[in-house]
Amino acid sequence: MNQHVKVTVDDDRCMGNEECHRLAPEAFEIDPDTGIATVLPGAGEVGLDRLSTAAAGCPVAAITVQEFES
Amino acid sequence: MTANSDAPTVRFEQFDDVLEALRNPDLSRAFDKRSFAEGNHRAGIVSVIHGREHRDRRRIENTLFRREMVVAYEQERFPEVVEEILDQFPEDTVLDLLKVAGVLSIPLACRRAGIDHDNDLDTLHRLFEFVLTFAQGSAILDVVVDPQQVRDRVTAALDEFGTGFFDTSKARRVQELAEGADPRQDLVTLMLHHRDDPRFLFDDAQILREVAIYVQGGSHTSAQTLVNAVDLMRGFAAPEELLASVADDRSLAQRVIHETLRLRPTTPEIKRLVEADTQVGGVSLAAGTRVVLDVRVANRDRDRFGADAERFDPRRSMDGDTPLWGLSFGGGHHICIGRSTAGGFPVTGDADDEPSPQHLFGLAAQMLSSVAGRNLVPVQEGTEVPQLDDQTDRGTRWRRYPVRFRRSPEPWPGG
Repeated sequence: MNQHVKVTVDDDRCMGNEECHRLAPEAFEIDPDTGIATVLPGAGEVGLDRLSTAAAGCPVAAITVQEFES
Repeated sequence: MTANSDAPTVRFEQFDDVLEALRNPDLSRAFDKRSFAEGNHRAGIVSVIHGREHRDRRRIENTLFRREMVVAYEQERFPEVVEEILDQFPEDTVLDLLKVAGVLSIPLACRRAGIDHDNDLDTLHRLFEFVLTFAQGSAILDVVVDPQQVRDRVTAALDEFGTGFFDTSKARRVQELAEGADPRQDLVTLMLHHRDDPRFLFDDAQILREVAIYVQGGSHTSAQTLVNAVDLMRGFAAPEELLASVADDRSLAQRVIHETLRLRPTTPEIKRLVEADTQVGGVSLAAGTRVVLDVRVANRDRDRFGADAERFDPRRSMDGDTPLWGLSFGGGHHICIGRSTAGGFPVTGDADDEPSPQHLFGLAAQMLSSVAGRNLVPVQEGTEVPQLDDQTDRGTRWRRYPVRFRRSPEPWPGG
């Protein structure tokens, strides 16, 4: 069994506040065209603690971090 | 949804409840639509609209606060601007710290808003007078004078600001856009660029109101917070030592600013209207209910800030989840758009922690360090005493705060 992390951004909620990018720049960036946060490839490798901090730091709770096993 | 006068009002003051309410998308800022719609410069601005329109507006306006832009200004331009302006104030003369802080913060606020101006003191003072009037309009729910008088003053100031500063700034940007010049990173340019977007359809009056709010928001809170910081430092065991420290240590200056924001939020009560039936803190709230969020009390929550939460302690240790400034920049969908510019990044952890190279200290901390470097001394002589603003019942706003700059450090009165 391997532990994995799935990170998603709710496009409908996100307002591009950039807190996620500040807290975990390796995992999130803001799309300059849409103004919405996107999840970068390899975000799952950043570590659950920092991803959870970034999710908690989102003012509109647009980020979900899920652990799963495979 | 419009609240009627006999709608129930529910009050929250626990930190977690206030945060939950701020993040609840069913709570809007339309606490009292009439106060913000008729003769008020906040009508239709991003901070009072709700839902999808608000989200879309924030998405474009947030681009004005991207980290690289804020870092560049904070590290490269603002320290020089502050010192240039402070050089125009004489030593050993009674000065009003509120006005000093106001004119220090005007250049950045106007730069972000897209208002061109000269940097002489007369012009900066004139712009800050507009800000003081706009700030009364923004606090219309808390004014203790005739609200109609406030609305009339705001309308007159908006007209004067429009003809004196906005019209020429806008015309310059209209021409630049028509000529295909690289767009400036400011609000006027941004709104002109999006004015025909069917989601927004901005007219000139709306752009003017939004710009006025940016100038106000970018200077008034910072100015009042700087005054509050000095006032809180007066109660510190050794204010002269703290002053000397913040002159050289911007990290400590930032902690002083954040601790000040926590204890003296410029909006002590945040008001919301329930747009659809919902719950906060386990309490059912019916549509139409008015909600009052007591930030002043929430920011003294002992579970979050320790048993001495009432005490001014800029070196206080914080856990990793709670920012030292508490909820003073709001939260949720309407979190203050300029929080990083004014306050820098949230401070958590211990005072001895080394900030990262990418850390932002915020412009209020820069202003505090700079006035500390001028050996600021509060004045308490005869009629020259600090006066709170008596136009609102907020209790964290000042009308006048006399100080002097000295050539060398001096004991503070009562210190």
